[in-house]
Amino acid sequence: MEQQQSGLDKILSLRREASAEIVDVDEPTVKLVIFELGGEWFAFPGEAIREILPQVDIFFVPGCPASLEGVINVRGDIESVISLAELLGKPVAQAAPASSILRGQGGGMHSGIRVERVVDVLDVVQSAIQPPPSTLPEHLRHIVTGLMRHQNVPVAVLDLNRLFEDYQRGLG
Amino acid sequence: MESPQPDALEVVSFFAAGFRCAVEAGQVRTQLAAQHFATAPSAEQLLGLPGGETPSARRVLLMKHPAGDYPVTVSDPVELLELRIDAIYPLPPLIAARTTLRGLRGLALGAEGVTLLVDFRYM
Repeated sequence: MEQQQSGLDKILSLRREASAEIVDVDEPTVKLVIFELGGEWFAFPGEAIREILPQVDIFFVPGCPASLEGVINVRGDIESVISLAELLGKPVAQAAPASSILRGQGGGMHSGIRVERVVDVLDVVQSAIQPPPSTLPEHLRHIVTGLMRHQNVPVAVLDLNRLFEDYQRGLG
Repeated sequence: MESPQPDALEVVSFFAAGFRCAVEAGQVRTQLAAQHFATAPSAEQLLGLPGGETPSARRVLLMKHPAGDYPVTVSDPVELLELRIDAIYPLPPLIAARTTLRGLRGLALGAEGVTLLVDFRYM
């Protein structure tokens, strides 16, 4: 005869399920900076991001593509600022009060990268990042290194080295 | 013995298409009134900036060149000034790679904003 589950049984069962979800701490992790652009979530590896800056003054430099917003002065040094929304073909938010500039390094260079909103900075186990599907749009295929989910939202992990190198070569 | 590094660069600043620009003062022979050089190329044309036919006050910078000085028309105000070395920056790599401005060599940042440091010899 099947016994009815007691309160303790239920608790123990729940606890077993919870412990089964405990992450293997020995599994390698990677730090990600997750951000939003045009309603979609993307991430850069944390090692590629030196700093997250709030809104700072951008000095316009003429003769550059629209995706190059200008330069910023960061404690006595200057860096370019690129608009990732422009680069990825996402709608550019006209008024994004939470917009931030990520100071990125890749491909042997530094630049600021404007994003609409920084969602989170967190460590994730590498196994949580899946290879990108073949159905990715052409313009993303080269720079997306993996896909994961965070807060049940898909996140495309981007390769900043390729992004900067491609941009330097005139792509985007 | 190496000579000490200067702490400022003397430049001639001017405007082109509304943007503040500057050239090394050592490259400028003199400045003249524009009416004597009706056919002189404008800084806008040489740099690749829009405009250049603006009716605002124009002056001519007579630029030094071994093959003979050449005139360039620019917009007022034209000033001789010193830029502190620590306010002068090489172009960030992505801007160096993507700019369409000819002769843009660097940038200076100051209270007045950004100054485009140009060199007409690189065109």
